[in-house]
Amino acid sequence: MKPSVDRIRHCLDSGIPSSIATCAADGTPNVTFVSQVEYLDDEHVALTFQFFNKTRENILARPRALLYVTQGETGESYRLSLQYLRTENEGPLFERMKARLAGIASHTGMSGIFRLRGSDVYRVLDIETVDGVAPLPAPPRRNLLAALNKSSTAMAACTDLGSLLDETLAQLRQGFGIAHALLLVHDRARGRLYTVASTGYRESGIGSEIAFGEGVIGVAAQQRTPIRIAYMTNDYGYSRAVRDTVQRSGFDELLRTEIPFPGLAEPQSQLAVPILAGGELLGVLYAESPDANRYGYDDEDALVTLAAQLGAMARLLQEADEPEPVAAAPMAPAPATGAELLVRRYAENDSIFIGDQYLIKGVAGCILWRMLGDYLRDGRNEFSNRELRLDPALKLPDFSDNLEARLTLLNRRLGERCDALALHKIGRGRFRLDVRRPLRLVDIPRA
Amino acid sequence: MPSPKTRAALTEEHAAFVCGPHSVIASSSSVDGLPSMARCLGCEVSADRRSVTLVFHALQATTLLRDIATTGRIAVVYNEPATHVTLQLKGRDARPIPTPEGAEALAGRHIEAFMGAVAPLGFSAELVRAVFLGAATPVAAVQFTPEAAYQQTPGPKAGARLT
Repeated sequence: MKPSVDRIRHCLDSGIPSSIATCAADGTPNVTFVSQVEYLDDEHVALTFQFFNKTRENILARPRALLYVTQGETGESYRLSLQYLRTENEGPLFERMKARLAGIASHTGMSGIFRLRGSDVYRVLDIETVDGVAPLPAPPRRNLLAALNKSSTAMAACTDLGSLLDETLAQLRQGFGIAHALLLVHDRARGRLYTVASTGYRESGIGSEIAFGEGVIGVAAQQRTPIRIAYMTNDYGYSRAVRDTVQRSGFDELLRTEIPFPGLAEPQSQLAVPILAGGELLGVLYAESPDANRYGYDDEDALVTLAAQLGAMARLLQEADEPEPVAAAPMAPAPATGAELLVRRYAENDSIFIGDQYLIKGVAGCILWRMLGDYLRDGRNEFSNRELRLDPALKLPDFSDNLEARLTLLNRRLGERCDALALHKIGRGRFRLDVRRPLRLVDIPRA
Repeated sequence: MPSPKTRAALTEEHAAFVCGPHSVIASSSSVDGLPSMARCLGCEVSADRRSVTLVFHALQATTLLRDIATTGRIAVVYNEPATHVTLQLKGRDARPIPTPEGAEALAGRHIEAFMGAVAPLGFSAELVRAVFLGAATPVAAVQFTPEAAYQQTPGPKAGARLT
């Protein structure tokens, strides 16, 4: 029978180290332990290449190996006959394994010793169940397919991006038992990701940014592959990543416009899944946990599927945001009363401050500034996505930019930071700006 | 260089280590140069440190025992779970031997001690028993003369020959 790695995949994530036997050209055997076995597909696995050792020498001379894997909860054990194919030293597989190895190294006190030189890819020729083992019953597991079913149904009922994001997080909590999660959107023009929704944190962190390549989120985005770490490691921490960015910049102004990343200070488990649609990266779904080894291959598969649906739905809602014919005359703006609201815009980075409080920057800052200007000059308070897309002053990267995500980000930041301004959807591709206090706009030009 | 006949390849320190409550995996190779391997249930070193006896679960080690009987080749890796200190022994004269008296007791002692070693790492005694002992536990034994010992502790020095 054809060997199926899928059927024994749960043994590859085991806390019990696997071992590998190889033979030298003269037939002398060699046996050693393996830090990590990575599932590739039903017929392939990859092992870490870290040191130029005897195993390395042997597989290059005689490309056959035997791998012994034991499941960490049941004890079931298998021998996999392997054929060495190639070594990858960059790209998605390499980055996946590098991140996972960093967690394992940290967990086993081997940080600074384990270093991934390459991912050795093997074809699995045969899988033999080890006789004479008496496996324990597998502990009960959450039914991820049932959770996916429920999530898909709930997400498919959403009619706008904001509710889709919130529903996704609600489903992660209820169906998957994931208490800490973030949804980030890809800003293609800047090569960064910004948080649009989160669950499980004291501060929402909406608007906080991650650069490509930073932490598991940045690497998942850069490589467009899921990144999963089972143990706490400083190598993929965000608080440090954000702190480093601030230290590098040296500008006070930048410090003031940095929204802190909300994630756990020391997550034991992390899983970042790219949200892809139509061949493009829309963002990243990130889940983390204070518990070690919380996410396995099945969790990863479930979240990849969920992220695919989220991506497809987000794309669909974006394409459907062309305005409907206006059904009624625009409502007159409600009178703004109370103390004057000072809004400053720094042209340097399009950052907007409400009073002394930083609100938003970049494209979302530009959009707000334009609407506030229209409101003061012409008394306008209704806008369409289409006019924003076509406005060259807004510097939207291109037509397919996820404008809806930027508006969601802007509205959520307003909700958190400013009770005098709000956006309300009033139809497909149209929204109203509510201004509840008199405005004074101050534009600070570039220095 | 002293010949194996005049000096044992195992130092006293190594001999003590390989008899410790460690994770032990043995491998051999077929005449075609294909590897085989199995978990080891216990290890004993002779007083002169020239002979090592290994105990296996016969059902877990069928191919390994066949290859050892055919080629005599053996490599055995010993790993102390808590410290990751790892040692590999190699020999060319391995052979299955009639199960010595006390082999089952040796396996029993090794498994008990191993349970104690991995309990702090979160592995239960039930799990250790499941991995080492099937429903029936026919014990098989292999003896060999260690010719070389290699450091296998993870790191750039892994693979360095010690004796």
